[in-house]
Amino acid sequence: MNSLEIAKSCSTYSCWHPLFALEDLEEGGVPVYTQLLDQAVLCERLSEGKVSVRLADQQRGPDRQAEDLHSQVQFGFVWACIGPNPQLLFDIPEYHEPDRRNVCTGVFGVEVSAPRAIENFLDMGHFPFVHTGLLGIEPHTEVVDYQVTVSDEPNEIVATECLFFQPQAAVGSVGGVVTEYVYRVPHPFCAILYKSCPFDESRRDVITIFVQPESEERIRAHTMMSIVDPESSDTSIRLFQQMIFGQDKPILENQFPKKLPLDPLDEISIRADRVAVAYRKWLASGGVRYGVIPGAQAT
Amino acid sequence: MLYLNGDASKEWIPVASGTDLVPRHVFHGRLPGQELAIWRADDGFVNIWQNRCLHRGVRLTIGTNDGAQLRCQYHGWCYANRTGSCTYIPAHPGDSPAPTLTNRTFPSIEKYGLVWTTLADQPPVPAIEALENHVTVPLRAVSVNASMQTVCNQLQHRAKRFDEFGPANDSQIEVMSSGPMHVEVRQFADLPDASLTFFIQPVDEDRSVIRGVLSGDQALAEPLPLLRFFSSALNEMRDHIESDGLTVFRDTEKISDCPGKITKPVKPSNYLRAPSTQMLKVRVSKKRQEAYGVVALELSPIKGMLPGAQPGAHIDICLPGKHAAQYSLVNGPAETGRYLIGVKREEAGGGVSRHIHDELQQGDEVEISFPKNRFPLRRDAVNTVLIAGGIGITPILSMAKTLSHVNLDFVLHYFVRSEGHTAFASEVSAFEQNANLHVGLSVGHTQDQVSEILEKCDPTTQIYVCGPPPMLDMVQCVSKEQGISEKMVHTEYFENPNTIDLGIAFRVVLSRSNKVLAIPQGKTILQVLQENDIDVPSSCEQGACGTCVVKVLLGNPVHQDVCLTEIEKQQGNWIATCVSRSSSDELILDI
Amino acid sequence: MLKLYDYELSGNCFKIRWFLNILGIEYESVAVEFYPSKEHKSAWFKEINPLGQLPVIDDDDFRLRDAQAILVYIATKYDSSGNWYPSHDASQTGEIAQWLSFADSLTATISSARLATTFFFDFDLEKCQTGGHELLRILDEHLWFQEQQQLEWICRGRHPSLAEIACFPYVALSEEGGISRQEFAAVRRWTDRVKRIPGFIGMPGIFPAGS
Repeated sequence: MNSLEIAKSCSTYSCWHPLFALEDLEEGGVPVYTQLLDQAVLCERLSEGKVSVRLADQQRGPDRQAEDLHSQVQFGFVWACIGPNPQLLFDIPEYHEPDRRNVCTGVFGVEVSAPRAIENFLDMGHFPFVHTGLLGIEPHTEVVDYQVTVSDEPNEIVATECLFFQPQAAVGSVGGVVTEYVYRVPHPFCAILYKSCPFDESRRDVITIFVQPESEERIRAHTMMSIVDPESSDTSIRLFQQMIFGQDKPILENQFPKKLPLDPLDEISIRADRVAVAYRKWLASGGVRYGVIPGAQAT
Repeated sequence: MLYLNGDASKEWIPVASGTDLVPRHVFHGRLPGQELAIWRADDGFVNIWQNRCLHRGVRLTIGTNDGAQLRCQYHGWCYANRTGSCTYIPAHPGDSPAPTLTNRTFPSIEKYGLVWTTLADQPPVPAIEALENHVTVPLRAVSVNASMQTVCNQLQHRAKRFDEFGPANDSQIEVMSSGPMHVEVRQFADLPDASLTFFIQPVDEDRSVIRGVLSGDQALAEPLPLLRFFSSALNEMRDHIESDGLTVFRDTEKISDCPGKITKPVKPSNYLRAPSTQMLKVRVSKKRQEAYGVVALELSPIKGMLPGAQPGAHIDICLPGKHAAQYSLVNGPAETGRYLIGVKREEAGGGVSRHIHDELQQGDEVEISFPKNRFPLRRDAVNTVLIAGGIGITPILSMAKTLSHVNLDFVLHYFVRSEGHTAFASEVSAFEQNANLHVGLSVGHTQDQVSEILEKCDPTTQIYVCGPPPMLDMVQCVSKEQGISEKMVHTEYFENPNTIDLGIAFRVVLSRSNKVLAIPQGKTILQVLQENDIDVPSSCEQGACGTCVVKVLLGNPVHQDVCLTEIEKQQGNWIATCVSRSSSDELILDI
Repeated sequence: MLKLYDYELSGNCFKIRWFLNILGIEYESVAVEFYPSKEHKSAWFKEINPLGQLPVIDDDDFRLRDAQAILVYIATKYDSSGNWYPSHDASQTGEIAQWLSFADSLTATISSARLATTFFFDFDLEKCQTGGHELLRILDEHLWFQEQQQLEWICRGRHPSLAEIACFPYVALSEEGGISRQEFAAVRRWTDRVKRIPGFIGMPGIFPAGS
């Protein structure tokens, strides 16, 4: 089975996938080309926040809308679904709070599969080694046990009580603290991180990664932050996030194989990887075939 | 002659030059379908490993070589020189990695200035007559985007043009593959004693590396002009091959189209609680008097390599007809070629130490267990205090060597009866101001000193203590008085100071063996198990070594051992069958 | 104070940050968001550099653009040892200038490849990669022969020079542009040595060398 056939047979074919930050598209501008699930698509920003997405090789007839793919704008991004019956897109309730700053922090091309990128996003153990001096620092390397729950309704993974010592957890924080994270995986290729907010103890900042799978082994990673931070400029928030992502990229590109192995014996997992183990199982049971190496039970 | 159908997977294949492997560097090697991380440890050993961390598949070639271990860049997992066994997982500093957690290693030899490996089982070592007994100098390796076959044909054809040093004609060129793929050019007019041998390393279906070796004697006194000449000649040949349209530049990064086999390592189990019954034969390669009443033994492998061990680990020494005795390894992280132990002569006890002192000779063979570790060292502490009494220095010294190697702060306190009783004095003094020797203190003064040491500890200081049981009790007592969290004080008992109460009778249910056994007063669980031919490995039989620990599925164990931690005891999931009892009528055990 | 118009993920800006760190010179960093907002092409920045390129320094109202030019300026003005750019020595400065120009070629190939793969710049990726690969071949052979003569650095002499600072970043970032260094063993050893030069700092995409 080739990659496109895998894409079509995979449950993610009826998922919504991010393509562009709306702000990066010019209203009424020329359609912009990108790739999704091994297919070329064109994305166009129409007036009044409307968008149109279609397969690039689709001839246009008089009824434009009939040939358009399903599309919507959510969380500041254009989302599309190639399959005929899109599943519901998850929500991030915090995003809609009026006093939050919602900042699209950029899209990055990475030579890796979508699930590898998600797994890295869910991982704390690498902070001292990859984000040295920012999200972690040696010798504070311990990942204490945390809780993972997988629910059916909504169908998502949640990891709570994730604690880690961080020298500078966010652009607004000063000095080392033990930061608490909550991770949420509501979509095979999207994940959300909630972390203690340095400006308001009662609230949590939200950082998201929405992965657009161009192919099984190449992605565009869209990142967004929804934070309570009256001080930092959009630029400094974006620059901090870019630095973090810039540190992750070479790690992801040096992972082999690029696809995520779902057989639990292919890679050694430890207690710190509890959420990754749950994620791999969840992908397998959810029929995700794209960007993964199926485990023995799936083949 | 051309034998290019020889199967590279059955030969030794040159994968690097010896000089490629500079200290503290990781060379990125390649065989068809298999990336290699190749690195030389500070002791000179050449490690050739699969280029993948066992954890998340990250290339080890982006990691660091610290001279003794290779550390992965992603999560800091460390793998030991020689064995490739995982020595440390920073996310869980309090755990010892399972001994089954071992990277895939390949054999390595160095010959003719090249480093060779093989995918086969010990094929004959390459023997090229022209290179034996001569000075050899490897040329600069040249990568060519072409198959081994193409390169070999071209070399044979174009070697005639290497004529600055005299023409080579067909009869002086030989292509062979009875051993490694090689092309040999003999006799250059201007260099009568020189010859040139090319080995071709397959990298891919359409990528190869030409590894030339010049041999000769006088001709190689000043090799630089020759190296330049052949480098240019090979570049020209490479350009010719590549411009033939045989190949274009390929993004060599994309290796997923020829994936190496992912080796499936054994799932890690809880090593501490999975007593290994496997034994190992070693040779006493050195025996020396280390201090008064203490000898040091160096134990070397008879065949293959010794299993990796982390600081705090011990081995059992098993002598026929005697109970096994435990000895901590004094090895530092860089010392993987042999085990070093210190043995104190004990007049009481099972007689192993007396036998070692009196009978055992250099060159003798002994049987030992695989290393076990119930005294693991955390490497996430900003400060560590190490306290040793007498022969208790052995695991403590291993810890000090490790902390020093990874540049973590520590202070070592070593209490001894007299100068003459100071084992491993020179190794201790190597830590200079980090090491404090306390000689000949009375019990009271020792306690004062310990109080003073512990008072200086902040709440993040990890404290490790090893020594005679009264000293361990004293340190625990003092630390409790000072309000130091129990979690921060780590001890290892070599003997169990508790008085064992075998007063209560109860039943054990062996869930996997489907048996119920009564444990009467005066008998241990272990004894009853042995009487009923249930095989549970045991060693000290006094609740100190942890060999006989089994899993409890149901029931309330009454712990009388010193091998389980307080937390493990509270959880009640494990029991040391040689001493502990039950407060419930029944214990269900997972055996 | 010296002011640097800077972008964290730029290899050319990194050169300047790193060299200033080696010399222990304090500076003020002015972040210019190259991506995604293309601030270096904004009107305000074009006032500073009409070419719309980073980095630029402003040293006491003396404004200078071009990474290599800035390195030469900083070395000449602030490096009292004279090791990094021995301006009195014709052959050494000539040799360094040759490699500064090589660094520009690295920018044109490897940096462009990286912008195409990471930030979706519309460049001819294959051409950039082929060009970058060719440059790495040349550098690798050069460094291998330096090693044969017990020379550790790009130029002659016992001390690293501006050639290291100028060439290192895009060599070390080549894999982000899809150009593997697997076959360039001498280059890989050299990047390890460079990372051990006192005062080395990293940037996203470049790992430390270890002890």
